[in-house]
Order: sequence, then C-alpha cells, then structure tokens
Amino acid sequence: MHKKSSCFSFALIAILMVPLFARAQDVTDPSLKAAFIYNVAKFNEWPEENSPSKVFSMCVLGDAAVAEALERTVKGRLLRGAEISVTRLTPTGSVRGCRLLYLSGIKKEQAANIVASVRGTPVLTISDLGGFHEYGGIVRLLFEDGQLRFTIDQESAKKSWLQLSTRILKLANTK
Amino acid sequence: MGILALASSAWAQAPLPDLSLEELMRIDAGRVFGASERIQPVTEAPAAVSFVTAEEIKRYGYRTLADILRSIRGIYVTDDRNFSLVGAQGFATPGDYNSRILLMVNGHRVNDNVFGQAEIGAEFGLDPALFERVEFIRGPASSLYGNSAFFGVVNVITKSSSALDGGSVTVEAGSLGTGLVRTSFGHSFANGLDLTVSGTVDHTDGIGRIFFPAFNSPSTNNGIAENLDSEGTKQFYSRLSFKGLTLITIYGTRHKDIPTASFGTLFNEQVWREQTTDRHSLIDADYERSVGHTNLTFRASFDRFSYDGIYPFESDPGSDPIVGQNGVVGSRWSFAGGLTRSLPGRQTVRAGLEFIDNISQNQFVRYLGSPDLAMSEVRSSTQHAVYVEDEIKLSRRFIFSGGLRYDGYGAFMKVTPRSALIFMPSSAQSFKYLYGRSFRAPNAYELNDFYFGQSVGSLRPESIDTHQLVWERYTNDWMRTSVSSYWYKADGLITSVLDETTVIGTTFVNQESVHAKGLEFEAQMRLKWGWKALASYAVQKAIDQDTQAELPNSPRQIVKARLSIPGPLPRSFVSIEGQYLGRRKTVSASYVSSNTVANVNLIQPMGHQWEFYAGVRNVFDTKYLDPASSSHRQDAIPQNGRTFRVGLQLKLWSK
Repeated sequence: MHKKSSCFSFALIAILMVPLFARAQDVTDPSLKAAFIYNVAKFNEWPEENSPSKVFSMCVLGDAAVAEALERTVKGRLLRGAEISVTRLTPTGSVRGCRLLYLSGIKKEQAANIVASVRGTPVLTISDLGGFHEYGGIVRLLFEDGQLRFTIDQESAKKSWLQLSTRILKLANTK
Repeated sequence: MGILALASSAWAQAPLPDLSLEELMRIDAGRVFGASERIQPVTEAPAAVSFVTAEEIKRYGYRTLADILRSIRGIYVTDDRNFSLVGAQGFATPGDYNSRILLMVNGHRVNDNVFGQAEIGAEFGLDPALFERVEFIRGPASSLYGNSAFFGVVNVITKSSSALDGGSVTVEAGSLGTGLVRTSFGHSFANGLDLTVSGTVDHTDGIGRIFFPAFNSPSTNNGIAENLDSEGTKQFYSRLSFKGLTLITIYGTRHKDIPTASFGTLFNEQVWREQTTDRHSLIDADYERSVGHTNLTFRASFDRFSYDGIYPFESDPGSDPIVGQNGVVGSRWSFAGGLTRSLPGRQTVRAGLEFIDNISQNQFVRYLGSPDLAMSEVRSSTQHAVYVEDEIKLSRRFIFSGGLRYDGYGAFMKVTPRSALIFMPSSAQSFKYLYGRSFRAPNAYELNDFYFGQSVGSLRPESIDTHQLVWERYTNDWMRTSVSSYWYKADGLITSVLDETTVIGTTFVNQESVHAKGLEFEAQMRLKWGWKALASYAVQKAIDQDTQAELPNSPRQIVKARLSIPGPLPRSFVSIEGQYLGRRKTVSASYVSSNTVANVNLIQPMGHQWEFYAGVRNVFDTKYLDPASSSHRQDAIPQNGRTFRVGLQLKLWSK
C-alpha cells in the first residue's frame, strides 16, 4: 500500500472509531433476548399475591450473557410498581422466589426437572431450548431467518395460573 | 461517511427494552449460517461476514443478486452487457466467469460444473424478491465447502411461506422498455405443511443505441449497436417443507442479446444476433433431524445447467454470415450428509461427507447449415470429500476453531485447512484472527483439449493462503461496526496465455501469482425516527508477482453509503445509496476513470392490499465504463445511465 493512502485510511478509521469508546451495550443475541424477556413479563398477568412483594425476581440459569444483559435491561425499570431483581442460578441451586425463570444451555433432563419443580406455581418459564414445551415449558424463544420468534404453550400457562395478554398470543407462532 | 458515524448518540434509536415486541421481532439478530454450516452469532463466526436482508432488498429496490452484492463492503461488479463479474478483495480478472466465488442457495452449491461460474446477474435464475437474506462470507472456505470458495462465499437464503404471507401479484414497468410480472403464494397449513410457489417473467429492451468507439467506421454502422441489448428472464421457485424435510425446486432461464460483438463476431448484426441463453434447474431435498444432542442433515440435489450462444462471423462479401452455435450441458447429482454435535469441554463439532457425480459436462460447437458438430467434448467426473470442524470455547472470552477438508478428484486430491482464534471481551465485541487455505480446481471448460490443446490435461488446482484480522463491535444498541484487514498469496492461478498451436490461439497454464492486502471498514446504524444507515470503505492493493504490476479491474478504493428513512406519507420509506469505485486498469493497461453512482427508491403501502414503489438507478446519469475482457475489441464497456422503474403489488389475501 502507498504510504499516503494507508495514512488516510488509518486516520479515517481513527475518526470513525471515536464514538465506540462510549458506554457499550449490545444489540446482539443476549440483549435482544433480555429485552424480549422483559417485554413478555410486562404483558403477563401473575395471580394476586396475599402479601405483594416489593421486588419482582427474574432468575437466569445457564446463560451468563443473558443474565448480564437482563441486569442492564431492568436497571431503573419497574414491573407493576415493583423493582426488578435478576438472580443468577446455579444448576443445583433453589428456584424459590423466582417469578420468571429463563433456562438455557443445560441438558433436557435438567430443564425438565426444573420445570417440573415449579409446576402449578405462578412461575413464567422461558427458554431457547428445543422441545421446551414437551415437558411443560411455557415460552420458547427461537430465531427464524435471523429474527427473534417465540411459541407459547397456553395449557402450561393456565396450569401455572398465568394469563398472557392476547397481544402476545397473537404475535406468537403457533406451536 | 465520517459525519454519519460521528452523529451524536442523541440520534440513537430508543433503548431496546423500550421497543415494543413487534419492533423487537423485526430486529436482525446478526446471525449467519454459511460461515460454519450452522447458525451462529456473527461475532462468534470464524469469518468476516456481511449480510443483506429481505427488508433491505425491498427498501433499496435491488433487482438482481449483482445489485445486492454491489451494496456489500469491498465488493464490486463488472458488467460486459452479457455476464456480471463479481470482484472481491481486489480480484476480478475480466473474462473470468466468477469461478473463485462460491455461490450457494440455502447452503447448496450452484456454480455450474463446466465453467464453475457463479451467475449473479439476471442469469442467476432466482428472483431477489424471494431472498430472505444474502450472506457474504469473506475469505477462503474450502475447508468447509471445497472448490471455488476462494475469495468468498455468497449464500442466498430463500423465503418460506411466513415471509410471503398469502398471495400477491406484482407488476412493474420502467425505462428501456422494462416490464415485470410476478405472482407469489405462500401458505402454512394446519398439519405443518409449508408451501411457497412463485413465478416471475421479466423483460427489458435495453439501450436502443450504444456507441462503441472501437467500431467507429462506416462499415460497422459508425460504432452504433442498435437494439441489441435486450434481456428476458423467466423464473420459477417452489419450496415445500414438512417436519424436517425441505424440498426446493428452481427453474430459471435468461436470454440476452449482446451488443459488443465479442469474440470477433460481426458488429451490429441484426439477423443472426450474438446472444446467450442460460438455464438452471435445481431440485434440492434437505432433511434435518435432531437425535439427542446431535443434529443430522442429509441432502440430495440435482442441478442441470445449459447454455447456448449464437455467434455470427464474417463470411464472403454478399453472403450470409457464418453462424456458430456454442452449447454447454452440465448436470450433476450432489449428495451430502453432515452432523453437528456438542461435545464435552464446550466443543461443537461439525463433520460431513459429500459426493458429487457430474453426469455431464458437455460442450459442443456447430455451424448453422452443417449437420456435423464442429467440436464435441463429452465429459463426466466424480468428486468426493470429507470434512470436520471443531469449535472449542476455551473460556468465556476465547473461542478456537479449526477445520480440515479432503477433496478427491480423478486427477488430484486437495487438503485444505482453516483456523480461527476469536477473543470476545464482551458479548458485544469480538476480535478475530483467521487463517485459511482454499483451492479452485481447473474447470471442464479450461480442460477442453480441443480448444486449448493437450497441455491443459496437466492443469493443477490453484491455491490461496489468506490471513484476516477482524474487529466487530456493537455499540449502545444502535451501531454495529466492523473493521477487517486481509492479506493473501494466491499461487498457480490458471491464466490464459497465447499459444499459436491451439485451435483458439490461447491456452491455460498455472502461472499467475498474486499478493494482495486490504483494509475494510463498515458501520451500520439504527437511528431515531426509523432511520437506518450503512457506510463502508475498502482500500486494497493486488499485485501480480510476475510483472509487479497491479491487477486489471482492481480499484484501489471503494466507498459506499446508504440511508433509509421514513417517507412523507405513513409507512413509506425513501432509501438512497451512493457507491464510489476508484479507477481501474483495463486489460490493455489503460484506465477507466473512477465513478460514483447514486440510486433512490421509494416504497409506499396503500391500504392493506396495495403497495406502490418506484426507483431511479444512477440518478445523476453518470457516464462510466467497466473494463472488458480480451475477447472484446473494446477496452471498456459503457454502463447504464439513469433508469427508472415503478411497480405495484396487490396482496390477494393474507393469513
């Protein structure tokens, strides 16, 4: 390369890169999933609690990047007046207190066990695992042609005393 | 470009969590298939990847795959008013038939088996309205795909019924006597059957009078080719999927009159026009199935390519011209099987087998009025290959991937490796070092010993070693930037040289060696008010090692920018793009000057059923030329000035 042209191009790139050193947040997979999870939560009705808690607990298992993105997503945001907390679960940890559960990157048997352990309780289960509905998972995320799509198992939602808004059901792919 | 990128982040799109679910579902998650034969985030893919989505194809009014490729950073397209030649990484030798780019439809190779040609103009045979997305994967990929994945891979992903959403009829008209009719239908049945069918007929008269100074003499109509630029296509596409099985059928044919009097034919011959007809049929059955943690794919495909050229040559004064007909019929079966499996230690393995039976790779020449063939080369061959690629997530921050492929041909075998080290400081940023070796095998045309003499029997595959450094970054939910640099050494390139002993007067030898390096930058922005912008810059230098001269048709700099904004009326979009191409050397070592071309397109839905659109290409009527091959008397071929198109789509029903 001629000296002149390479100097020019490097200068150009230096200029163009300036805004990149600003605070970084991504629109990659994890942040898209996190924004989706938050959005679904907004349009889901949980049954009334006897003693409404001040904190709404979202739990993530098996995907640190989504947990990270979800923390950023819910920062400073409320869900029906409640603050939102994000808890990172370990495979052997308890899911107690979780009102929304995102599962990813774990084995089918593990996921099935966790879903079974919250069956009949108002916990919204979301996952990008294939066959998530087979063992009672409620919302399954998938990517179609590079865009986010989801399916909902309404039977499982009802069994968990959850009511997803018709708006969401309209957007969901039929299972 | 700088101004765009420096726009303060006050212009940035609303944060993701504040978008509606519908808006989230329209965002492209930046995933790519063709880099590893499986879907993965662009940041983790062992390649520098660009893609163009259906939304962009519609907004910018792209009419051919060539239009789409032109919009990608570092890519340029040369048109000799017969075929379109794609240039990548500074390499596009005039007269080549795109045999160093692998073209795939849904991951299936569609380069023909005689010229190895990737047909990217209207001759591609598939309407861009049916593209879900087009991926361009830079650099060598023979370790995954074998032959022709030399400078890059173009993977066209076609639409399923959900993207077509019911039935529609489209009618278009435009300048240069252009007209198009398309009918499409897509439906997803309750039992899981998904069906898409579409057909398109397209015609253009082309430029009525083209002036070629090289023919400027009274005996050749003062250099004016009259009404010899028409082009017509017929395209059919169907896709049927049920459970894991997908069956695609494609038929496309393109007929083109050639105004350039290439290959020494008669200039402005009106009765026996120089012309080419290309046809491609494809039946492609793909079955995918998951067994436990293993994803299995099986594929069987049948391709048939045919090509006919009519070439009028001078005969005795006063008598009819001698008309040569050149024909090619290539057909092949391809069988492929592959598996993707996660292994302990955070590994993902992809392995596969491929077998190709080239049933025919036939070429013939005959002269009209003579019952015998003047040349007939009947050829068939087989190829087989096995490959494996392993991706290891070394830690949360590092990914290593390595791949190896063995290709067996009758006369030779080839082993090609690839490796990648990817560092991801966060899920929004990645640095990649990529190394790969690729090959391109001599094709059946080059091996035609009737044309080129016995010596072509000893042609060997050409090879390339490419290193790439890539930096990709997502910023503040609104900008994606990518910087990539590459350097490569291509050796034993199959080069056309003069040889008086052959019928044609030339032959092919493994001769040319090219060293090149380049730097590319791209920024893609999603701004407020629904604005979307993309800007790219590529600088490159490709040198022939024998002559130490730069390659013909290799621009030093390429700059592109495009912007799509909501139009004056609700739901309308106005999209503007500009492309600058630096000056290029011609084969006779003169230059065609640099050029800047701008295009504008408008789409305007009207009610729920109608959609109107209009586009102007080359808005400023820039006069520019593309370098021609040595089979032309012209050194360069003039390109279209300002043209326009209007179209109307009627949705017959939707789900």
